[in-house]
Amino acid sequence: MGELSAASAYLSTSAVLLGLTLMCGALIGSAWALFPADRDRRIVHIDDLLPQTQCGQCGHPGCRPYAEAIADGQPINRCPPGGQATIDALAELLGVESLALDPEHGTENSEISVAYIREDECIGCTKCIQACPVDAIVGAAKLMHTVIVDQCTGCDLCVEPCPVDCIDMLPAPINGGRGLASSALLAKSSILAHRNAGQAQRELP
Amino acid sequence: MTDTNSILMSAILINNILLIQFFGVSALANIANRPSTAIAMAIATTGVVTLSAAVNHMVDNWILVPLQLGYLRTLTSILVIATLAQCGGLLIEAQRPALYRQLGGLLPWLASNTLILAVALQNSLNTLTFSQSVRSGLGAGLGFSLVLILFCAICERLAAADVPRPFRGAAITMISAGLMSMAFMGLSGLA
Repeated sequence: MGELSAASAYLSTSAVLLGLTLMCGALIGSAWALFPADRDRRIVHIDDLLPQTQCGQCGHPGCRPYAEAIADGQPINRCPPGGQATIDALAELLGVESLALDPEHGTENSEISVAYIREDECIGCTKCIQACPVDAIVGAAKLMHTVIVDQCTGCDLCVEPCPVDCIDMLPAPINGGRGLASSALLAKSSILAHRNAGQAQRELP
Repeated sequence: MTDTNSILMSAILINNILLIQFFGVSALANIANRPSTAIAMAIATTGVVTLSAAVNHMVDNWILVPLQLGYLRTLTSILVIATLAQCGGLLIEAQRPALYRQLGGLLPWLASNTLILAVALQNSLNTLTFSQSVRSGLGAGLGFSLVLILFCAICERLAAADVPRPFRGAAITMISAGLMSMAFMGLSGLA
C-alpha cells in the first residue's frame, strides 16, 4: 500500500510538471505566433547586409541604426565601406532601384586598410581609443596604445583625433583573413552567395 | 486581510513589496536609471505580477491542492512566471519594437524577479480567494511601480548632485533606498 501511494505520488508529480511544462510551452509558442514582429526581422536582414564597420560615415552612430533608418525609408546609398555591392544587395532585398554611392558620405575604397599606430611616437592621450567605434585600440592614459588588427574595421575614425599624427592606414593583411576589415571585404564578396542562399531558402515550401 | 480594497491599499502603501518587504530591490540598482525604462518596466512588472497571481492561484487551487502536491508550488510558480514574462516580452517586441530594444537585457530580469514569486507564494500561504489574490498582485505591482518611478526621479536629481566621492554609485543608491524605506514605514499608521 505504501509503495503504491509512493508510486502514485511520483506519477502525479511528474504528470503535473509535464502537463504544466507543455502548457507553458504551448503558451509561449502561441504568443510567438500571435504577436509577429516582422518589422524587426526586416531590420535584422538589412543589418546583415551592412558591413558592420560601425564607422558612422552614413550619418548614423552605427550599422544597426542605419539599418533602422533604411527600414524607415532612408536612401540605401550612404555606406561607403559596403560600396556598390552592398547597395545592390539592399536594393534586391527591399525591392527598390539600385543607386550609385552618395559622394556626400564618402567614396568607395577598393583597398581595405587597417589602422597602425607608430608606437614610439604615441604619447598615450587615449583620444583614438575614444574615437574607435569597435574598441579595437588597447592602451591607457600616458601609456602606449596599439591596434588589435583582427578587430580593426579600417574606418579611419582614429586618424583625425590623434594629436601627434602617429596613426597610419596600411593595407589590411588579407592573408590573415580573420580581421574585421578583411571580413568586411569578404562580406562584400560573399553578399552574392548570401543573396543566392536567401533566395533558395525563400523558394523552399 | 479580509476586505479586498484594504488588501490593495495595504500592498501599495503599508506593506510595500519593495520598501517594507524588500523583495525585488535589485530593480532600484538596475532599472531605475532612465525614466522611460523605469516606466516601461513598472508597467510590464505590474502586468506580469497581476497575471501571475491569477494563474498561480488557479494552478494552486485546481491542481496542486486537490492532488496534495503543495511541495511543487515554488517550481510551478517559477514556471508560470517565466512563461508570462516571456509572453510579455514577445508582446512588447511586436507592439513596441523600439521600446523592446531599449529594454534589451532587462526583460530576463522580469522572469527572475523575486517580487513576482514572493507575491504568488504569499497569496497561497495566506489562502486568499481568487479576487483577493489578483488584488494583492495588482497592489504589489502598483506599489513597485510607485517606488520605482519615485526612485527614478531621485536618481535624476542625484545624477546632477555633487555626491562625495566615497558615496558615489551603489552607496548613494542604497542610502536613498534606505531613507525611502524609512519614509514608507511611517505609512504603517494608515492601517
